Amino acid sequence: METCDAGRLTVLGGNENRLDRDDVTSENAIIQAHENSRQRERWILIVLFIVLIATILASLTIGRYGVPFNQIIDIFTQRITGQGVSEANKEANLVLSVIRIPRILLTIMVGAALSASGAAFQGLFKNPMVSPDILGVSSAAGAGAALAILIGTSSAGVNIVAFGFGIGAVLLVMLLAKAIGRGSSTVLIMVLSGVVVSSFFRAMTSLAKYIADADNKLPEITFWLMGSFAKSGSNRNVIIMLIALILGAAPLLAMRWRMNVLSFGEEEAKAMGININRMRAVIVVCSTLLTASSVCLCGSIEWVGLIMPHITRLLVGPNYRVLLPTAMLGGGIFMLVVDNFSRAIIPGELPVGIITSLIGAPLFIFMLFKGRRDWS
Amino acid sequence: MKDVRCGYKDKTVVEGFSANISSGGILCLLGPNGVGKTTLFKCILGLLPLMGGRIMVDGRNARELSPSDYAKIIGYVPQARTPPFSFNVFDVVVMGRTTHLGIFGKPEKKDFQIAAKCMERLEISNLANRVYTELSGGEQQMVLIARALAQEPAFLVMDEPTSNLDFGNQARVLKNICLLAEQGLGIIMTTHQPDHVFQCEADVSLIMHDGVHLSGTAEQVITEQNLRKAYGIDVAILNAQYREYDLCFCRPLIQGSKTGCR
Repeated sequence: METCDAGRLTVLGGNENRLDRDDVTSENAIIQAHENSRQRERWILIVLFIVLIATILASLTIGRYGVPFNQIIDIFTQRITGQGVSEANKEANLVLSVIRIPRILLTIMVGAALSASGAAFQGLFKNPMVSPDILGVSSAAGAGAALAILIGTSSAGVNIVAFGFGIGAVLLVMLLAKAIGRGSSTVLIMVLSGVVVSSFFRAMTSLAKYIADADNKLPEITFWLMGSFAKSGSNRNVIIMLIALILGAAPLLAMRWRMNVLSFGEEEAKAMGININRMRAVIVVCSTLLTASSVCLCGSIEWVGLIMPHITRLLVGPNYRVLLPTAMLGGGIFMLVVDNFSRAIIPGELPVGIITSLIGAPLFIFMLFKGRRDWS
Repeated sequence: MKDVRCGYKDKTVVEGFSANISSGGILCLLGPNGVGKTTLFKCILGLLPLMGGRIMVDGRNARELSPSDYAKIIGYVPQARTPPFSFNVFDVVVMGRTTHLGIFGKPEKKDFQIAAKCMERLEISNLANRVYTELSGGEQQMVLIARALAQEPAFLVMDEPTSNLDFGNQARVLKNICLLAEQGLGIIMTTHQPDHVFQCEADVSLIMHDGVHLSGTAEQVITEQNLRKAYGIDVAILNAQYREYDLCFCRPLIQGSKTGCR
């Protein structure tokens, strides 16, 4: 009997302790802890930004035509002060401004665009295994490009046809999903439609490759499909990509808090006051724009849109408020580093898509082990 | 003084259901599986279109309110399911504030304070910095209640808040539901336990397979006869005195035997 009482006393004592602790962990403590974690998130963003700048500076020096760092500073000071580039620096200046700087800018923007659309799609489909081309954008754009190359249009023509096919594929998927789902298009039907449409366009690509002239057209198609920045780093493309990035990423960034709510499922999101159809449409349109413009300028670069949101999630957690900007910065850095490899690793140039896949696949398996609890 | 009148009609599932709930009251939806509780539920939440009848909130037709305005009146507590991403618990609660933010809005200091208050109110402040996906089912359920409270609704709609919970957590969640009602919220919840109706001194709507439904207080509706009709089993409804408590509970009779403790 006595032991029983003693046991009871201990339990009561334990309860009192818990109450004390609850009082300490009150409102202010919660907010303070939250404030701290936001501070940490800000620091991560700042550090990533510095890393990005450093990578850009390093990238300027890398390439077939070596430009040492002090020469770059030389050229920049000469250009900024308006005294004109000196004779000795003319050639290096040309390499930088016509080839290297546009390519670097394009690379960063494509990396950011792919990461942003990947992160957005993963939230929309409540599935961390989803990548930007889930709705068939990449394969359709590839088919469009293959056909355009086959017909023999200009490089701008290839880009335009690829873009058109990419957007067309997503429209097709949406229409299919709507028709099959009879108005209430669910996520599952959308994904399945995406699979079907992708497979159809891949067959078209194969057909184009099969009938293409093996001496010139086929290598061109193959090279395009592998994805590369080698031909795309022009000022015109930089401006096109910048516009696409602003149009596509700005709405996503603005709505990023709501994307959190969306990842809890459509019913819960709706009950929390979100106009689910409108939001889904905006996310699909923006993400498609980002992916399609990346693919049409640089070919299909796989894995970036899948793994960058993952790595970022391990770093800062799944809250889109910080995840989306971090993923975009990280995506830009990753793409730039990988592109530097593709420029420097062999004398010619390795298509960047090959490297992203070579790095992406093992990295993804590593993350499957490490981040299991993230998507259990 | 808030008052929802639920005139509802669905050709296929539930027909001509009506009920009333005012702030401070609890309405339990009781009924066997597949009888249309969930359908009814989704209609109340506005997730499914009404096929007839109407839902009135404060004298206004609920369907004329935007999803965002509706969410300011009715908070939804779903069954705890594990989301694909491991959100921080406090972030989950803050998400309840979404309906009060603009389309491009982000939560601000005021929203964080409200969310923290809601957690304190349910005495789960200690969970704030945990990871939502690592919580137990009972803790997740409490977090979801906190999230719905952060919406600052007049009503909470709960989908089987005690299912999948262990014995202790069921009691804990139920106690909090009763407390919230005492604090002035109107609560609609589905449950599989007739006992919950007694414990919360709630009003109840018992829905049966033929589409008939009975509404009223616990004593009026939860009778041995009605339960037998609804569930097709024999049930005993017992009253007992335990210390200062008046207990009323029901117990299905699963064996023919007249003795033994079961």
